[in-house]
Amino acid sequence: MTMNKAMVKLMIVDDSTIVQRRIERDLQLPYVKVVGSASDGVEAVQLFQQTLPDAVTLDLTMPNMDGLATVSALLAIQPKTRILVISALADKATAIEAIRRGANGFIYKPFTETELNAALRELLGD
Amino acid sequence: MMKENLLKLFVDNTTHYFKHLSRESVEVQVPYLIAHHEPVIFDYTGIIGVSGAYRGYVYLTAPSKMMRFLLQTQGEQDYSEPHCLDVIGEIANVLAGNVRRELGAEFMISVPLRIAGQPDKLLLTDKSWSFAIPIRYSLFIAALVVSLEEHVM
Repeated sequence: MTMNKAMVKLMIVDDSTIVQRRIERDLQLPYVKVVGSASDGVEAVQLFQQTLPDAVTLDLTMPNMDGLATVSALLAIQPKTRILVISALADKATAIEAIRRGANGFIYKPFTETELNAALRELLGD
Repeated sequence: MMKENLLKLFVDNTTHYFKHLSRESVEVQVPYLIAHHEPVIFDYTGIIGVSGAYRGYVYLTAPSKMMRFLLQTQGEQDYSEPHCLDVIGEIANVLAGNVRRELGAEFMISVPLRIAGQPDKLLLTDKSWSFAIPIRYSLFIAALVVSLEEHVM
């Protein structure tokens, strides 16, 4: 799926504000604009409803609502949103479950700037 | 999994993590057995609860100077306590989560519990073994403590 490169709205979801900021800082795609960051699934759903982003980077291990439940919740609101899971949970079963729920990509922590941008480019059909 | 192999997983993942982080030298040293009433503890600690095929805790503990250095390494300029706690929890989460590559989803982990200072008591599992894995990163010494018991599901 190729998305409109004029502007892609990205939401960042991670319970670490340091990771949130690192993702925003490492982002090197000029057509991507970060519209907000959330620290857990519940906050993510609220922010998602306000901003309706085209794409989301999503942690899995979070308080209140975990990442897998958040994948389902976000896609129930807007099914066309592209979701890149960025998680420390490095087993295949979790990645498969995330994809089964509708996520479009998965990279493991720790990640490099290159890996992040490559995964986002692939996510956005660049 | 034999505990020697499990500990090797943590040693390898910890080495990989710190090498990935920067070009600073990292030496993850030989694990040593610790008594459950004598936990190793520095200024900041990120604790991950483990359930499923294993039960217990994995925690990373590090001195405040190392936390400041880690924040610098990640491009941060605010070395306040909330940021130190954020980073220690995040690294503990990654070190525990990465072993699922070998152990699978039955190695279930909690969100991090983050502690500043020296708690009065830290709960290590007294029914099982606890090992401290010393981490020499740049000029600093930290430790990953693995306190687990196998659980037949």
